[in-house]
Amino acid sequence: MSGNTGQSEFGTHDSKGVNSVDLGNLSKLDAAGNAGGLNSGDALAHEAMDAYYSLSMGEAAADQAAAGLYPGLYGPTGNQNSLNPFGTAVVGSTFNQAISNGSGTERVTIQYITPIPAIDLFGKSAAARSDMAHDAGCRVTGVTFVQPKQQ
Amino acid sequence: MFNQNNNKRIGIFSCIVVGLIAAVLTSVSVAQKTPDEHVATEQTRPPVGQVLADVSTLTFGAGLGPKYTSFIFGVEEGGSTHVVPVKISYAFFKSDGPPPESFFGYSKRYELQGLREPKCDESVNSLSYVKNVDESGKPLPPTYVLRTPPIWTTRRQ
Repeated sequence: MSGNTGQSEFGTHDSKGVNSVDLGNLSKLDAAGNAGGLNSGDALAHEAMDAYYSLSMGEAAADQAAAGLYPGLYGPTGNQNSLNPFGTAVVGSTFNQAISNGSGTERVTIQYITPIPAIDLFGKSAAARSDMAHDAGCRVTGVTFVQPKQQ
Repeated sequence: MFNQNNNKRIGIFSCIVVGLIAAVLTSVSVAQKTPDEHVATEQTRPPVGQVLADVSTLTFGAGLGPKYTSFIFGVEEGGSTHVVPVKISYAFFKSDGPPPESFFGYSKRYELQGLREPKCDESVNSLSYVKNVDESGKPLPPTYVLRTPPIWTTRRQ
């Protein structure tokens, strides 16, 4: 459990039996605008069950098993970047992630600690972009629940 | 012969990408285990084909599950006479990381194991362009983020 991992994840699977949660990011799940969506307790429970299941099965299967009890999030869609006044650097991103039990979508806004040059979006592999985003550091700054009908 | 085939494929891609691209959620271990654990998830035949484009964004998800990266995969149908583009949402954990650059060798054919997941569906426009706003929320021109094949004339293996 960490107050600030310097990344924009609510919780992650680290290794067999070990998951971590970011309390700063989790707190955004409890905002009024996210009423009806996942709350911090749901996220903690998901990560705890994921860690437990990962002791006896592969990490993907463990995540699915945990999601059967406490839902997780599907992949991001509808990306939007926030740029600096010159349009040369990405300072944040907003994206949707469907909740795995079908109850709706979380619209997540993150802010990069170090803005990322917009030009770096081009020509980089997924691995390089992942490293770049990780190195820049980021925080969740807002989460809004979107009901299925509104998507 | 080669160029004709390739042109044909590109043309078909252009036609079909009007509208919604269906998503296949792919993770090697997901496909191998417990197919009945995700409710409302439909199992489909393994798609065979080639990577058509990488979706070059900075966002990989906010946790509570794996991270994700997306690419467009050309699924061969009718004995590879035509290609249907589908969005592949590739799930990965810290231990694996995203697919290596060598995966995106556009001359390579793959058989993917995945699960059809309508919740990951996305419009072609949404997948191809990242919307941009300034810090006050004012819209800016979008960024095209499909990293397309550098060479289309590579002989298929």
